Amino acid sequence: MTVISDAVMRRHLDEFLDGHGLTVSDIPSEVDRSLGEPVLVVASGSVLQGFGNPSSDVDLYAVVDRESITDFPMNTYRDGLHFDITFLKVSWLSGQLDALRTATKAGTLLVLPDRESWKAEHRRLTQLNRLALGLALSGRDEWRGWQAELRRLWPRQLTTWWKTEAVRYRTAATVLEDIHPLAAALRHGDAYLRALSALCAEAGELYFMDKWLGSKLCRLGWDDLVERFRAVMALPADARGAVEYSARIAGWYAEAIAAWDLPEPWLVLHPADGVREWRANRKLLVQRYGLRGVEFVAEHEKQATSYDLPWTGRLADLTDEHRTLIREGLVWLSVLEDRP
Amino acid sequence: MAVGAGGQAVTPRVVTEPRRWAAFHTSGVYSLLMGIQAAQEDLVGVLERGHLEMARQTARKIALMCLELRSLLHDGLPDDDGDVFANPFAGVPDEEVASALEAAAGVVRAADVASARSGIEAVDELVAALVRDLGYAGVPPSIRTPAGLYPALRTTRQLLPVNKEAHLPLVFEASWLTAP
Repeated sequence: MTVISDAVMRRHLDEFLDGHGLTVSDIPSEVDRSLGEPVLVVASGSVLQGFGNPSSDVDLYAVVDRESITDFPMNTYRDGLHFDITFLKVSWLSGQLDALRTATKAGTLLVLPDRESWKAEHRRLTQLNRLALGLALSGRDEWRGWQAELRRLWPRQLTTWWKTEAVRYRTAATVLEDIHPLAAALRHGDAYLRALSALCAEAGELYFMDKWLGSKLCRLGWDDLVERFRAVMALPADARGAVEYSARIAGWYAEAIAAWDLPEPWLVLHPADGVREWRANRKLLVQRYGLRGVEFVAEHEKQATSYDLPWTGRLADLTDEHRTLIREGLVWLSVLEDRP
Repeated sequence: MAVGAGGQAVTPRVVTEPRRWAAFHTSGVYSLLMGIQAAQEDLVGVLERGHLEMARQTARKIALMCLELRSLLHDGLPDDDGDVFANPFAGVPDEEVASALEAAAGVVRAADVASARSGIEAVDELVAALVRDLGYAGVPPSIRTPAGLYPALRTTRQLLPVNKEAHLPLVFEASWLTAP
């Protein structure tokens, strides 16, 4: 596996800063010291990965021993260059390596049984990606060691994330085929792009941002997959085109994942964000943000009106009721390797 | 009710679903400032560096974001990142879907960087139509420039009550509201 080195990141950063008449030594002065001396300052982002362009900004991550901060990014400008500065708490970072060690001992898929755990993991990986794939500009030895250990654990975690997401999107695409052909086509494409991201991660392209996928494939010299990537980008505009597009990409997906022995997932359905119940006599309206809903009516006075969420089962076990709730956008999907 | 400064007449238009109006304008402004305009800047920048594959993905993303916002005026729901059952085409008329995807096609299907560059104009026109429909008199300056940041904060202050009164999910990230 070829992983980008500090020397290469430094070269990319130097070249970019030089274009703005700056040097690396100018950067630490952009980090606000009012929150205390950072224990680690890392420069990160597309510029360091070699994907930068003249409109790119430079992301700076400062780890500080202070609780009263948020991850609200601070903006600063210098000689036309935009710096995005994010402060991270020592207390948050301290537990992350143990969490990664635990997660990477798990199975083929990450255990993210609901929306909240998915969001938390996505957010965690977004932040850790910047530190794992970033260049330490200053910091204490203890925290430079922390970064080295993060880099050791990172590839497995990132690859597992993309595989889990590939399975989740593929499952959704399959369900949507009979409901919304265009949305199904989009999700088939998304599933394949995530499988490609996992392949890239296995080959050492470990930057989390999915917008660089095409460039990663080019950098790896995988011309046949670049061609397929281009075909995925060209979305169909009608149902007939969507069916053909979905079938073609489902075949490519099967090829991409063939070596991984991915499990048949358990589906976990939860009410989507913003779903609430409104009741009136024998009626129950399951609605989301008051914009869409599905009404259930009990057949007689004493029958309880309810709907079948949360639910766990296999794809083949989905009922018409689940499909109706899915069609109306009322369901969040998680996938798990083991039945919860 | 008085509308405007009392000068030129303002033509009224009936809105049958004010909550969808609120969803379109709150999500629309946020997405325009935070996502679409950044993607437009990226599109120009990555083509300058010859990253054609990223340009394809970016143009496609802009078209999808525009459609997703349009869907809020029809059968769509506010975006929730990671929601794999979300349908950005929900209720959007077929010709509008085709037109948005066609606007991106000049970049998405470009044979080389030069033809992708010439496809940017159609993408910009797609976004310009969105900007007009969101009620802007002109294209707002990018939030990633000093000139754009404060007007954006003023707009968010105007939209936050709309967002809350319509009982829609807050489009501004939770951490923004607790910033020091």
